[in-house]
Amino acid sequence: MSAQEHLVQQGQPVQQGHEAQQAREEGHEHPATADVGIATFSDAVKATFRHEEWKYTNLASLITTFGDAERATKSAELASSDHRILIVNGIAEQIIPEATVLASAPAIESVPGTASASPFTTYVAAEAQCIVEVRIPKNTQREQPIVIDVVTNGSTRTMIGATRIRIIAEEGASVVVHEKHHGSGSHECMDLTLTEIVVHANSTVQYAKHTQLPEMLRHIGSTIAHVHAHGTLHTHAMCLGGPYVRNDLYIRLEESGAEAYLNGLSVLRGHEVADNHTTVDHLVPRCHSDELYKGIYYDASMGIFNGKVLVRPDAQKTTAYQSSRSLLLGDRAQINAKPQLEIWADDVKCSHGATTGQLDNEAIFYLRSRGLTLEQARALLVDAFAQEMYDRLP
Amino acid sequence: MKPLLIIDQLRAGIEGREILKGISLTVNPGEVHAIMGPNGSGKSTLASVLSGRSEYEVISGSVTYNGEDLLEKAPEERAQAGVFQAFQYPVEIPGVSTANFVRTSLNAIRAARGEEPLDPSAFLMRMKERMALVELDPSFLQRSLNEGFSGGEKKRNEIFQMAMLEPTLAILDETDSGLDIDALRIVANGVNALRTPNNAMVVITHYQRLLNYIVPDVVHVLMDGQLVLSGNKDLALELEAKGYDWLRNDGVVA
Ligand SMILES: Nc1ncnc2c1ncn2[C@@H]1O[C@H](COP(=O)(O)OP(=O)(O)OP(=O)(O)O)[C@@H](O)[C@H]1O
Ligand SMILES: [Mg+2]
Repeated sequence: MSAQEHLVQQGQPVQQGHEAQQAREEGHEHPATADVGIATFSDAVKATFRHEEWKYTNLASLITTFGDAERATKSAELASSDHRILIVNGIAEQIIPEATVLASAPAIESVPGTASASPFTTYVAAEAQCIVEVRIPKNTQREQPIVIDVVTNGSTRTMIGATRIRIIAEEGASVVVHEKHHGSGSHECMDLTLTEIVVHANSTVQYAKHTQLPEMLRHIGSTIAHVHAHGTLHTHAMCLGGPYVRNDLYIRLEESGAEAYLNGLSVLRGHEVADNHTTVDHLVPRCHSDELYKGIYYDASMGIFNGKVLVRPDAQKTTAYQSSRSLLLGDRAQINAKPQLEIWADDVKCSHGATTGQLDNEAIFYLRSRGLTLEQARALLVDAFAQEMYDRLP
Repeated sequence: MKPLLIIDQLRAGIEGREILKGISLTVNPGEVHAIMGPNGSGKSTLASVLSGRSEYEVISGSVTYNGEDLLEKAPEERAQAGVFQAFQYPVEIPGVSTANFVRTSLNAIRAARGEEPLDPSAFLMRMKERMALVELDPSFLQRSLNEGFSGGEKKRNEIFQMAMLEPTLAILDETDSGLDIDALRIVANGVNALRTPNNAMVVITHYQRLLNYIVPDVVHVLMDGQLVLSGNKDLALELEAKGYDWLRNDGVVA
């Protein structure tokens, strides 16, 4: 079986009903990932050494800092809520009616060069402290957005939280999910997350991942999505602060008519780093993807945007657009933007572009000539640059 | 009467090249001055120097506005003191709505004068009233500033902003270019409605036609960086008929 077919199969709902649910919880449906060699966080870090895709990450310091970090084990009393899921240090504390805490989940098929092959994906797939699955039933339009608060809290010691989330929109369903990463505490913390999204035929998922981290918290997360026939996925990577945020996003367009809209906004200050790696994989004909990542970098902050678009040999009539736009506002701010288009089909429309710049002097003068101070003019233009991405949020 | 603006022997240029070669001009409150002249003669440069565009470098001379040295002020300080330039090519600013921009602008100017921000309902009323003055549809308020506006809409938006800010000295750089006959009349009526005995306007234009609507007190001809001739409104008619060549050849140019 090819990797492609395998993944398509995994995307299918296993069974419906209570029995199926129970089977999954007991781990009968799928064996847990039995990846050898990555049993600890340090193993995962070591597996990325000298890897091109991790060249902007200070890997050695991750081992020093988190080598013997603690993982929470206490299984909390599960509270329930209508719209808010709460996960603290990798332990589910509150869920919603459509959610289940699973004992195991399907293995992740590894496709080289994508989030699915990240050592951190492997680690979380095997070692997550909890697996929370949200399933929106067939033809259900969920009106209220779901908020998943992923909190990492190092008030007494250095902590690692490893969380696995599955979001499944069954045929014809629609849902908005805000995955919010934050935390507190005086000790260094690492928030590791693996989120899988299955967008079944004719369903719509709007998934916004917000990282707004305190100084002591770092985040490494993978999101892997499967989009089926005429399904639509919107993703939003809102990187609004944190010493280090790494987002690996892998979207597979697996059946004709699938659409993916990838959005990103990073606003960084000080020495903050946001490292976004995205892959859109066009596997079949007539799928569409459109990607826009923007960044605003103050001070000595650094943004990385590595955007792959893969158009497989079968994927004729693909339309795929990608663009990244950055504002460098600090003397020592940096952006490393690397679009990568790999196209094996011939009848496709693809484009990509990356721009990096400062604020437009003509626009600044225009605003000042209308009475705005230099600071006001700059702030207005920066807001305008970012606003487009806020406007797209669900 | 105390002059509003005194330009005295102004020489200015860009990147080491002299464009304005000694300009002197006095504008009194209540007056409208028209400046005409061939392409590239320095009209927009003069407007830019007056509104404080930093690329242009003043070589010598002075500009006094309301008794103060205008040239040492930052662009926003000039705006706050009542100077307004309607641009020949207004820039498009994606993501900034016209309404938000005009509110920020008006309140920045009010703040600099120690005034409270206009309350939202008064502001809205004023916006509606002044948009009507230039027959600009209120839907423009929600659109990004100048983005995708037609040439004529951009110019009307400039006059709308002028109407909102009520400047003491307005410099209109080719506000009539690109306007159809109706828009020209609308813009001119808007400008006339804003004339008071206390404010003044410098109107840069290529066409005598505009001056039928906005009747100037004085018409100046700018050629190769110098004001070579001044006259009353009939001078515009004469230029329309004869062009500029006769001014080059009859020794008026120094
Ligand atoms: N930013 C600039 N950089 C280089 N040269 C400039 C700049 N601005 C103006 N100039 C030059 O100065 C001269 C005067 O230009 P200006 O725009 O002031 O003319 P104008 O009288 O407004 O012309 P028009 O009637 O075409 O609008 C021109 O030769 C122009 O090329
Ligand atoms: Mg000009």
